[in-house]
Amino acid sequence: MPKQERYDAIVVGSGITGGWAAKELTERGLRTLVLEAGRSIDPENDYVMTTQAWELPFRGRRDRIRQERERPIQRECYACDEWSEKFFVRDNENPYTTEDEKPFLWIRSRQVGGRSIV
Amino acid sequence: MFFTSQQRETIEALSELIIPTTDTPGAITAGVPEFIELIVVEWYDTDDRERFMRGLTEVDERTQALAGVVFAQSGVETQAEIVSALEVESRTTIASEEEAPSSFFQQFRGLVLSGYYSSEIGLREELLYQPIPGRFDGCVDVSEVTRSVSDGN
Repeated sequence: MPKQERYDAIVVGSGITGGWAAKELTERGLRTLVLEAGRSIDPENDYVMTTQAWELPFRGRRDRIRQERERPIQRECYACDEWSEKFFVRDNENPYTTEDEKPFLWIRSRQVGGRSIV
Repeated sequence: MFFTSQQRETIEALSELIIPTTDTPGAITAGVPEFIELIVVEWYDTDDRERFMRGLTEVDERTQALAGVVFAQSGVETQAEIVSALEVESRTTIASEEEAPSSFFQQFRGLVLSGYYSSEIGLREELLYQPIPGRFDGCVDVSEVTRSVSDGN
């Protein structure tokens, strides 16, 4: 039997909203659990802001054909560029449905920090 | 391989004519032909790719008609004549800002410029690359050694 822990609050997602919720809750003394589906960001290896355009195969134009295949929804976000694309989910691996006539662009960024990272 | 060696030579010669080697490196040294090949093969949609390939073939056909050899084998004067004609013709079919370039020449020149000025050589050796410009000089004396500044965008 796995060890059972009890929490006063469980926050799902560590993005801007979840992060702030966890801050407020813990500051008020609640025992808080934050759940995050994504990985942790390693600044040394993951940061891209010092990558120059010429170091990217498409010089910042993005790999258009691959993006249309793998990230047809995420690519609508301005930040899903040739630098930061890796911080967005692959739509082909993360499908979702909406009601008819009610399209919704679900921009999803899966790591500790969520979309605040991009 | 997508391009034949003749097509590749035409791309090289045409690129180098648009941005030649002077006191700064030209298009070939900056890797422009490889960039063009990548965009045409792996980025363009079918329409853009067909227009590019048609235009490229036409360059060699026109040079053949004029000088009896393909573009890359022809002399500087012939090449200049061909490119001047292409440039003049492209102006009569200029596209609106919203539309894609309407002629092969506009398309090709756009590729050369974006390939060159996104290369390390174009940004660091031809332009003065300052990704984080620290100051703004509103009024500077321009001399022959003044270089244009770019933040890479």
